[in-house]
Amino acid sequence: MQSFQFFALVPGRTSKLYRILSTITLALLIQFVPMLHDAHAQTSQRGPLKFDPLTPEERELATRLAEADPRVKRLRGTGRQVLISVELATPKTTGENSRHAEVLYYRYNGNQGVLALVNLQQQAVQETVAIDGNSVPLSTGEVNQAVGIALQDRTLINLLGPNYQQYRPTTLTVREGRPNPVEALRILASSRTDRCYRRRCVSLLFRQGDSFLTGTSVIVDLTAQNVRVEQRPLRRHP
Amino acid sequence: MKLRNNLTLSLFSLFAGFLIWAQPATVHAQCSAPYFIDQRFPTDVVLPEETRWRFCWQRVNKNGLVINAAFFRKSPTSPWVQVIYDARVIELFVPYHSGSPRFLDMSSFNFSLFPLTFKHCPASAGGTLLDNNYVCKQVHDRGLAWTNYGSVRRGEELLLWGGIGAGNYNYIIEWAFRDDGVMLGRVGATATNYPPQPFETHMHGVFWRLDIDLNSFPGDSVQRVSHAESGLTANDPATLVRSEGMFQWNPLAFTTLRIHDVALKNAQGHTSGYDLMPLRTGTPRHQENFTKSDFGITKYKYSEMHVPSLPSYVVPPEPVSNSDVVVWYYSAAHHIPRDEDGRYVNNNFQPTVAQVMWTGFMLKPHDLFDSTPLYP
Repeated sequence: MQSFQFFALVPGRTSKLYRILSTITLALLIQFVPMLHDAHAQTSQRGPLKFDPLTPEERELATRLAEADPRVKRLRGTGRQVLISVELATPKTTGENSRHAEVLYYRYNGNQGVLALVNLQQQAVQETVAIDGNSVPLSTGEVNQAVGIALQDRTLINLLGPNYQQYRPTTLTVREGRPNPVEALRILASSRTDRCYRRRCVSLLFRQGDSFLTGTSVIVDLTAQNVRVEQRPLRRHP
Repeated sequence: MKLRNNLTLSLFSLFAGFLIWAQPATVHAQCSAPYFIDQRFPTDVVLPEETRWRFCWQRVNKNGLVINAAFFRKSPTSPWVQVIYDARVIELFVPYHSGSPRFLDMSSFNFSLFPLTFKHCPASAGGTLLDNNYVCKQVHDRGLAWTNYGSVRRGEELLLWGGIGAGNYNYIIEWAFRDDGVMLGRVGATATNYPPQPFETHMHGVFWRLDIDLNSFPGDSVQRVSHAESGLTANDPATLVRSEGMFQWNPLAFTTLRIHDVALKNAQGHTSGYDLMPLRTGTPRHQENFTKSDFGITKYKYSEMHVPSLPSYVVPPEPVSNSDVVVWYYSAAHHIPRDEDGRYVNNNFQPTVAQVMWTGFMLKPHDLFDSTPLYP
């Protein structure tokens, strides 16, 4: 049988083992050559892969592309707003190692979030989405601002004592070694009668050693730029 | 002729070896070290390999520890099967009994993982710290997997976990990949009670978004499996979920979601799937609409990532049979404060030690293996 060129290369009789192995090898070659090409292409590719973290250069590029995009500009408007985050995005695409980033803004006017999906390889904003402001996290800058507002309140200063100015907003990387870190939790109100309803409020927790300033509620309204300090009785529920 | 045969045999062996090397490349080429995990079982390399997991992980602000592109191989000669495209805790909802506060700990703040130490992740427990100590990988014995009188089989697993620093609370996000193809997700709430209201009972609601791409995508479908009793008999019908929707977990029905792929069958010709099985102590319900169900099934859309909007994602319902589905699961840890949560100093309570409370789920193979993977 001379139907395969592979066999025709060998003159004379061929052993049964030879025929079997040759057939299997040829079949495997036909099946796997495209895969091997892909594997080679992937391993020879330079730069981060699909699920690797964003590089500083990619973050900078994503931010620049989002800020220049007219759709993003229109959604952000001209009022008070803040850049919240630039994160890796991994939408399903046909490109195995495509790279995307999500750039998220918050607009105080209307309690609105603006999300831009940036295709880093095509250097273009692929999609823009307006999202509810309640789903937009606080930025580090907003937390710093909230702590600054709170530390002007006389009631809170009296509770914290003479060293109140040592309290600083914490970021997780610098928590160790700071004697008086302040933790921040976003407050969401479900009731229209709540003063934080549809506003950007944050509850501040003042850490004191291995505990906290206990029984005191400190809530900063970033939308109105004010603070409410309330002391609550510490009662054990029966 | 003998020389030619030997030459062919050698070439064949080389080529086969190259293929074995090349195949994993297509599985793991989606992330780099240390974000790529490759774990064979049994872990003792002296023993022949039986099963193997390969996956990527990300450290993501808000969501903590995210699993991507998880593949499982049920035997060294079997093809890799994709199980997960993206699995993450998508929201932590913490309402207090007085009605306020009601925290959405993931969407409201860019909380991130905090650094761990060797005390968190000791080598004696199979621990290795990864990525500047933000993530702990533990590979260890997981206890008894099976016994039949004198016959016994112990199991092994790989745990990958990190802790989100969420103000006064820490949330441990833990993923387990077991030798028998099981995958588990758990969240543990710990650290200290909310300082302004340390005695107030609250719920730690955990929402998972599980983009399960069994055998890649699309082609996936979901069945709802429910146990039902009738007199002395019982049955467990599996109902195909035809369109997007939200469902309640029924403890009397042992409600389970079975995700299967149209083209994936085992050697017995049975359709292979993974069962989503809740591991829970109760069912949280609150005023918010997104807490009214325990399961959600949606068609994959990139921008659908916000739990408060989940009820709107299923209206109008799109078909989800034989498509690219995303499964949402909700469970909670109910925290009733107790004196063990802190200490009393001059009759004042200081909340200092809220011990870990867990809630989670199991993804368990169903007719994925051709027969038991455990028989010694």
